[in-house]
Amino acid sequence: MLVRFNDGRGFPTFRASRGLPVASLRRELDRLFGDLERAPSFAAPNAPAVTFADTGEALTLRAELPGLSEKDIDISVTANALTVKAERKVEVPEGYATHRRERQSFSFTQSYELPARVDPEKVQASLKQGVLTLTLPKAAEAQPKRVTVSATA
Amino acid sequence: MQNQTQEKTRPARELTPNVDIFENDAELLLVADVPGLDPSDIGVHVDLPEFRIEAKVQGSEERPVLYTRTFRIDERIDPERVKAEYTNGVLRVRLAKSAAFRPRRIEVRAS
Repeated sequence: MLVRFNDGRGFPTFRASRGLPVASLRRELDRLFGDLERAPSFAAPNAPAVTFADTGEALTLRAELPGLSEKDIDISVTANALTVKAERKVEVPEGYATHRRERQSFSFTQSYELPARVDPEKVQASLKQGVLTLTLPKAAEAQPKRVTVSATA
Repeated sequence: MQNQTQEKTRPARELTPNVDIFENDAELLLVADVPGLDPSDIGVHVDLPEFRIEAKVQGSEERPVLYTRTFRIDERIDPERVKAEYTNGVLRVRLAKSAAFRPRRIEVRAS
């Protein structure tokens, strides 16, 4: 599925309530509004939160992927499309009984149509404490150009 | 539960991290997804029976962003032996049970 680059807003899902009804309702509401502001990702309810930005010279992507290491992420870029694949498996540690399981496994593949041509050779990706940051410098022809206004007498 | 009803003077945008909780004979293990933090910004507070994790997200200028979760712990844990580690954006807190409350198997002997 190809999604428009700026189509990052979906409606957050209401997660299973926990604890006391009133306290948990309040928490769910806080979470609902907190998550709304966080620009949650599209489609799949357990898809990671992804944020895009255009800095002028480059497009950037920030994705929250807690618990993943470099080998769990696969990125491919062409001049006008980006594909991010990420997989997380959450398992119960051996010998433990489960009280609560909210962290979900996911297998996430998403392609984005980029709003500007980028230079695939210059793309940089880093993963720090579960946050993936991608910087996609725009191709020379897509770089912002300053137009000088000349006054005519 | 007290702070559920008190209003905050300076509202932060609060995010509720997803948490897994496991238990074995020796400990409770809490695992939370809290990506993008500096370990020094993570607070793990044990004030029995309350247990709270709290973390502030750096670089959020105007309105601070807080990850927060509070639990009530009924298990007898030893507050002196709580350990926390942060790897790949995942916080793992191990709450060791007090020795006196760990299950002990008693052999039944035939006489």
